[in-house]
Formats: sequence, C-alpha cells, structure tokens
Amino acid sequence: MKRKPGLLFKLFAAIAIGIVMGWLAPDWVIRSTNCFRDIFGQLIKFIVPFIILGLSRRQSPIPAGRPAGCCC
Amino acid sequence: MLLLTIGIAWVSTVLTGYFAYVVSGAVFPRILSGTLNEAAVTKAFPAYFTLTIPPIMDIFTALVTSLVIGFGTIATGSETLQKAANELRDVVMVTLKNAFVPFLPVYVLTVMADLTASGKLVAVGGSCVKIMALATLTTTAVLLIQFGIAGLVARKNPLKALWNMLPAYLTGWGCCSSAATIPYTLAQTKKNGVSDETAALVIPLCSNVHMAGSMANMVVYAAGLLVLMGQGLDFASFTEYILLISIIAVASPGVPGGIVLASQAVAESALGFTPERYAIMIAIYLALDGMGTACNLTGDCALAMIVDKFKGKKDR
Repeated sequence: MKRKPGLLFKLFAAIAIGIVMGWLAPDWVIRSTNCFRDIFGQLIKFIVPFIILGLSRRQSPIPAGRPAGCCC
Repeated sequence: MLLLTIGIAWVSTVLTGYFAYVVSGAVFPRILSGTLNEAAVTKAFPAYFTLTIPPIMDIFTALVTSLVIGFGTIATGSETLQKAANELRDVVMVTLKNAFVPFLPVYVLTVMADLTASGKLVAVGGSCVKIMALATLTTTAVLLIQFGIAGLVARKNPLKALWNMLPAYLTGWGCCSSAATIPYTLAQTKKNGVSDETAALVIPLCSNVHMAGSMANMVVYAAGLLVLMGQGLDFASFTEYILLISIIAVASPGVPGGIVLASQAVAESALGFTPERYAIMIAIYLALDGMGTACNLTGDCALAMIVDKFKGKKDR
C-alpha cells in the first residue's frame, strides 16, 4: 500500500527525465534506449496471456478471504 | 443474487464505456482536432537490435482457455487444476510485481525520450492535459449517473449517498486497489442503508467484476489519442473495443495498470494503435490510475443499493 505513491512519483520523474533526455541526448543514446523499449514492449505482450490465464477470477467467482488484488 | 450482481456490474461497465465514447466523440473533435501531425516528425531512431518474443497464445485463445478450464474445474470439481490455477496466479502476480511494475517507469522514460527526440511530443504535449481533464469529468459524471439511478431504485438521496462514499473514494485514490479498500467501501455502503448480507457479497465481488471507472478512462484516453492522430471515432471499432475491454477488465484486475497492459492487443486490433502510441496511453493511464479505481469502487456501492432493493422485493 505504501509503494504506490512511489511508483506514481517514479512515473512522473520518468516522463520528465525522458523528455529532457530526448531533447538533449545524442542519437546513439536514443537508439540504445529504444532497444530496451522494443524488448520490454515485446515482454509486455508476452505476459498478457499469462495475466488473463493466471489472474482470471472465473475459477472462483466468490472471492475468498484473501485480498488477492492487494498489491500496491 | 450472484448472477444478478455480475450481470448488473457488466451492464454498468459496458454502458459506462458507451457513455465515455459519446462524451469523447462530442468533446474531443472540438478541443483537439488532429493536432498531431505525423509529417512534423523529424527523424526516426531505429533500435540497434531488438528481440521478437511471440506470446504463447493470443488474447482470445487465453480468454477461452481460461473459461474452459474455469468452468470445467467447477463442473468436475477437479482439485489439481484448481490448485494449478491458483498457483499460476501466484506466479503471474510475482512476475508482474517484480519483473514488470518496477520497470514500467524505465519503459515510460525510454518512450518519452524517443517521442521527444523524434519531435512527436511537441504535438501531443498540452493535449494530454485536456484528455486527462475530460477523463476526470467523465468518471465524476459516471458516478453521478450511477448514484442517480441507484437513488431512484432505492428511493434514497443520491447526493447524500455519494457524499457518504467519499472516504472510500479517497482511499481508492490513494492506494489504487479496490481490494485493499474493501473494508472502507463495505462500511460506507452499509451507512447508505444496504443490508449487511448484501453488502458483504456485492462489495467484494464488485471489486473484481465492476470496472466502470477503468472502462471510462480506457475509452476516453483511446478516443482522445485517436482524435489527436486525426482519426475518426468509428462506432463499430469502439463497440469491439468496449466489449473486449469489459471482459479483459474482469480477467485482469489486481495489479496496478493490469488492464492497460492486457488491453494493448485489443487497442491495436480494434482501434489501430501502434505500440508507441499505446505507450503514451499506458503513461496517461498509470498517471491517473487512482481515479479509475476510486470510480470503480464507489460505483460498487451504487450497485449494492440496487441489488439490495431487488433482493428485498424477492424476499417479501
């Protein structure tokens, strides 16, 4: 529960740093970061079926006592 | 009562999607109007190398597989598969929490760097604020409508009921998880005159299946970005988008931003998003994740009021 503001802050920081980097950094830096961007994008697509298979609540429509979604 | 609740929750989610679509369609063309000019892009930065990691199955295969296994397990009472499913869920949660969520900021950073360097950001910049503002208005309007209907059905003052939910709304904002907010939602819902029994079933259930707020956000952001790209908002495409998201939203709650990650393929196939445009969407969505969650769970109370009324009638 305490981690979420941290993530939010990091996201805003990431947007700010990203803009400054894109503005000032030389081409080769952007091309390198784009490697990460492309590969991580692929990974996100890869995990999606697992999210659907693994987190689907259809297996037990009546929520058990455990707070399954509590992860922030 | 279980099916009734799920049914109302689904209808509410889908109608919210259409409501957001209509609002976006009415507002965005006036305030945004194709300001993103692809011709203004100065240059491209191809990555030095990349990997292709094909997913083990596509979205629909996954959805149907999970349905077959889910209902099959209930029908046969298979304990092994049930256990496997639970364990798979733990594995996925751990993976997302440790290998994906921490790197999202880095991902957003790299996307923003590329957007700025190639000159696309200048075009998007201020428009994002407008999109976010409209999303805020839309979720608020959705809540007013939900409570208006609930107030009519249950004969209660909707504004007072909504005001009672404020503590739950704010908690949802802060921690971005409807599951973690359940105690508050539950307490405030009972304050609105919903019986203990109904509240205890509807609130936890709806925190999993009622995703009106997320839906409103997903639709408004997508519509806003499409208008920015100078594309029209096609009704058929959005119908596909809304219906698919209403299913995916149920299948993937529990992780911050889980919906927005899981919906990428849908946005690409139904609305023609490219991965980098969708990255903008992920950034906007995560920035305002709390609002969607807060709207989701506050709406749960309205649903509880309606379900309670129906149930009261049946009992009498």
